[in-house]
Amino acid sequence: MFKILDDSYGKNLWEMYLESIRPEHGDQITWPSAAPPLAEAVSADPLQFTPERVFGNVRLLSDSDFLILYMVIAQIAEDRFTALKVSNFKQFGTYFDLEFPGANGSYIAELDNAFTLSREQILGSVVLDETDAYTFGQLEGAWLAEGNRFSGKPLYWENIGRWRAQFRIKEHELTCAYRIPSVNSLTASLWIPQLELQKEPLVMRMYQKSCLDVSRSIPSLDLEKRVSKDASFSRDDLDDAQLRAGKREYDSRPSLAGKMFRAAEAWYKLTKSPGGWELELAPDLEGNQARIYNGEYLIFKGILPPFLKLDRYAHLSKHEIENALELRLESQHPY
Amino acid sequence: MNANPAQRRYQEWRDRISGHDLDFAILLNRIWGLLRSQAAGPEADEGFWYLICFIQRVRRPQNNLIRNLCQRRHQDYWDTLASRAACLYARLKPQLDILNRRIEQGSQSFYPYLYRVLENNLILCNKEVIDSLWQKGERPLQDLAGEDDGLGDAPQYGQLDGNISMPRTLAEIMDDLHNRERAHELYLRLRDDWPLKYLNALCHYYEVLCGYPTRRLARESNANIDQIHSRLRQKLLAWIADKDFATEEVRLFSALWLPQLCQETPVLETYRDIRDEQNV
Repeated sequence: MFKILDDSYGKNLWEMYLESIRPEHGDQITWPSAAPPLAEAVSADPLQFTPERVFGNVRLLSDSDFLILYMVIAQIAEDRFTALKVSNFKQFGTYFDLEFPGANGSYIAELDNAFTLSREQILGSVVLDETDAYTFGQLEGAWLAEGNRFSGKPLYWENIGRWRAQFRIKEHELTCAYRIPSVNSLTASLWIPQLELQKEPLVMRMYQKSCLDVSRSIPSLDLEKRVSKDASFSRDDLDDAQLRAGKREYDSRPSLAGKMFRAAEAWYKLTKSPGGWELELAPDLEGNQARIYNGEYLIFKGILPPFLKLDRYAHLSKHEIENALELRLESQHPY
Repeated sequence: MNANPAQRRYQEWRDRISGHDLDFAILLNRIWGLLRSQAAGPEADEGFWYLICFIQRVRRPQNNLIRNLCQRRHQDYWDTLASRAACLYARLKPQLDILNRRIEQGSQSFYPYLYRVLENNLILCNKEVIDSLWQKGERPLQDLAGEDDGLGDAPQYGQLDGNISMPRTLAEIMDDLHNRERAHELYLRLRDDWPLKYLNALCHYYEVLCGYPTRRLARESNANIDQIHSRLRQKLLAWIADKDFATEEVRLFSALWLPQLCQETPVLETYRDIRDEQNV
């Protein structure tokens, strides 16, 4: 039996989750100039993580917006690897996710949330845990399994409850900046919350409202206060969707200055390709730094390729996809 | 509330040292001293106290939440500090090889990395403590309302108590010993029963996973290797199910015995069984 998270418990957990994915920009630290002595007799400790290892580690990537927990699952080119989003918030897991043990604790692997990293990004991440070969093999098998692909049947919002739904959306938002397989790639794969969770936009806006409720009602974490005090605080530190939910005062902050929106019909076209549906972008957009939202949700962040793939949704009709799209482009580019 | 002896000693030490001693540069050096040494006693105690200072200075919102929860649940805050220090220590100890590698690259590579390893592991340790404090509340698992949504069986996420210091029962220890014996048995049976080409492919999988340089399957194309790995996974899972080995036994095998099995398995550069070809 699948349990729906109770509201108060879910809210607390959600708040803790938001806090745990927020990078902490602390005081400037002056690092010592001399390297310390090496640890000796390392072999006396029975369990040691392997420094050369790339696959099967639980690692944490820190970008300017988020802390992203992941595991490298496959290599796609010399310098490009596929990573799976991983989380220690197992309570938010659904039957889409696979729980697995590491040496130090257990996690969920989000089998529908894969993204791409370079070797440099991987080696610059912090190793937090390691899996054994058998567990990795199981994860790899599950990830490659056909049953893991989107079949056209959504993960209904009502069935998993709003906290798990929010978690799924946020986890995909965390990784949406890493969806382009390589710098020269012509496309990036999108994950659309409205299609995955099958919910009317109006009801889904409860997502943002609940974010506001959370930050108001838990004084111990005091997130709102920090946002209003600190002008340089990234909007993503709290939650992008939360800030877009009508809190107009945040829009005057420097990070948002100069943003431009473009009318939908002018910048993309939904087309069918052999691999599924694609959004063909206007030629002048290619190479621009931009964010794309569907409704209230950020679904792409980064340098725009010529196409955006909707290959997960190949089973759906054009009508079904068009109904779910409410695309909005945000860019520094002056149109 | 009366402080326990450990807390009292920490407090006395804390009153003795100056603010300068709590600079991050010093904190990190002392914590590294704790991690790299095998020493016990007063020296180790001091290392743990520096770890406790670090815990209180980093990820403060989480720390404040823990403090509030302790007040609400009438729990000793010191206990959460001690348990988080132990959690951090346990999580950092397997990283010595990685941290040594960073030292070899110079101090500018090592210290920022050590700080991030500590901070990021602390996030996980904090969550374990917060989960366990929530469990101690007046509405522990009832927080998970039992609504059947008709989706059938799903993974259970009910075990929220992350207390790593729970003592193990005799039955659990006996289970663990049994699992280790079965892991060894699995190693022996694989070594004796499996053809060399399968063992070679299994070891290739293991060596690639660990990032070790390997000559195994060097003459196979990448596409072939993907196929071989995929078939091997299925073969291994089927074989394990057939021989009735449990997941935990196989995990122990891959952690304890697979490295040895691969030391003993000769290197084949191709998946075809060369010896068979020679015989033909």
